This record gives sequence, C-alpha cells and structure tokens, in this order.
Amino acid sequence: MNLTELKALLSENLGCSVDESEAMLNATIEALKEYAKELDSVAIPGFGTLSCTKIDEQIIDNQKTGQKVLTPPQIKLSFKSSVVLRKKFVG
Amino acid sequence: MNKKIPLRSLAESVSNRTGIDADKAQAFVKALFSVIGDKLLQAETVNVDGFGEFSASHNTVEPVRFLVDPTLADELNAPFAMFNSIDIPIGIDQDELKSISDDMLSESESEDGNLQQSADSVKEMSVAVAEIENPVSEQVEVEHINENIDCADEVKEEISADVDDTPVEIPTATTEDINTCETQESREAKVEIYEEPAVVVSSSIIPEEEEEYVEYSDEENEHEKSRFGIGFLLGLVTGLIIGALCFVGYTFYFVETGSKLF
Repeated sequence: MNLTELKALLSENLGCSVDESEAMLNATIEALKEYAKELDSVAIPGFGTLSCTKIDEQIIDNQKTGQKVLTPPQIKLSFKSSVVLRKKFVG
Repeated sequence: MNKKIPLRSLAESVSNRTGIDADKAQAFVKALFSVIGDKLLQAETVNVDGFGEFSASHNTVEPVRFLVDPTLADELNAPFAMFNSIDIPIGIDQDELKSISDDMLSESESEDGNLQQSADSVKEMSVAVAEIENPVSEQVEVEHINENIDCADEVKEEISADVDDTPVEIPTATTEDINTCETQESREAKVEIYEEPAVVVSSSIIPEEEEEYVEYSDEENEHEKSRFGIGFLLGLVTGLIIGALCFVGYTFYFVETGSKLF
C-alpha cells in the first residue's frame, strides 16, 4: 500500500476530500519528523510507540576477522508495537 | 528532548499546521494508524513516502517491522554527517595505542606552550601600557614592548611619532590602540586555548575506554571479594554448628555410659 492509496482510503473512511486528507497526512508526517528530531517518542494508543534514540560512538569488533571499527554516533528511529496490536496478530 | 508525546499533542500539532479543528485532527490521526494496523493484519506493507515502511513480520515478540526512509534517516543524522567509520588496525597493542595517544598529548602540550608564550607577550604589552600612562618615561617603556608582535611595533611607531608633537596626548591615544591590540591578541589566545582541549579529548578516545574498563574490572573484583566474605562466614558458622553437635553428642554418650569425659 503506497501513500496515494492511503490518502484515498482515509478520505473515504473520514468522509473528507482527498486534498484535505493529503494535507492532514503531510502535517502528521511533518509533526512526527519534528518530534523525531527532538528525540521524543510518540505513543499512539492501540498501535505502538515511535521512539527516537541516540546511539553513541562505539567500537564494533568483528569476531571472525578480528577487525575493529570505530563507528560514529547515530540517531535511530524505531517502532515498538503496542500490546493490543500484538494480541491482534497472535489471534 | 526524550519526552513521551501523547496522541492529543500530536493532534494539536497537526491542527496547528493545517488549521483544522483539534478533534478532527485527532480523529484523523486515530483513523490513519487504525488503517495502517488493519493493513498490517492483512499482511500488507504500508509505505509512507518520506517517513518509513511498516510491514508485518513472523516474529511474535515484535510482529511489526519498521524501516525508516533513507531521506529521514539522513535528516536525523545530519549533525553526525561529517563523521565516518574508522577501521582500527588489526593486531595493534594497547601499549602502541597508548604511546600514540601520549605523542598526541605531548604535541598538544607543546602547542599549549606556544600559546603560553604568546599570552606572556600579551601580558608584557599590558604591563608596558600601564607604564606608558606615566608621561615622564614614555620612550623608555615603549622599548619594553615585545618586538616579535607586529601590533606592538605599530603602536611603538605611533608613540614615537606622537611624542615629537604633543607628548601629553600620547597616553590616551596609544593606550587605546594597545588595548585594542591586546584585546584582539587575548581573544585569539583565549579562543585557541578554548579549542585545544576539544582536540585532546577527541584524540584520546581509547584511554577513556581503558579507564572505563579498569573501573569495570574493579567492580567485579569487589563483587568477588564480597562473595568470598559471605562464603567464609557461612563455612565458619556451619563448622561451629557441626562442632557443637559433635561436642553435645560426645557429652551425652559419656554421661550415659558413666565414663569420664576426658
């Protein structure tokens, strides 16, 4: 499912125009991006939590080759599904 | 930073951006994620351009897999874009790494020494300025200014030029110039002094880790020591109890048989 299909489905479900749903979807994505840049977590009930974490620089040791690599710090956006969603998947 | 944003705040943010009512925005956000959840339950992949891709996985612990869009990942990691992964040479000893870091430290210290020299010359200038303020011995004090500093030379020329015409006006004009030169020099020196420790810290990453490792090993040793102490006490108490029981049994045996204890 791509973004266009998602917009169409949302406008159909909410009874609004495609342009309106597009504007709200873009605003939601922008808001989520902004929270991610601030390293904040966004909790969505019944779906999950989008959390952004900073990983410090570290030395990764390759056990097979013995090569050690110093990796730079990075910011990682991850998703953890909620219990409700997980129960739905389990059945 | 590191806050947990509830759905209401997200909806308010969306309503602020679009100008739509907050309740309607909240209903939209709920509908959006319920649609994504339904599609995931149907084992479909939902690709949101510019944000990421949600897909179902067979993992029961985490049934939803989220892959961040590369453009968003680049945006988030923009502050660290100048850093690259560095391969540490294979077989390099800790002693070699330490010697390399020590060399770097000594180089930085020598640079600090140069800075100290420039700071000393700036101090000399300020002392000379204080002495120049006395109009009686202007020409003599000007000679104290370090000739290696360009701005000091300029000041000296100005002073010698002004002395011939109006000796009374010299101190105010020259001291201002010297002060400006001095402040510029001191600012540069301060900036350089401030920047140097940052370089030293970045070049001494490995010693810090060594320190951390040493601290960690100390904690382990302490933990082992405490376990040894507890084991020793338990053994001592058990031994005493067994000894006491043996002594009591021995006593009863000899009381009943009527023999002497010892």
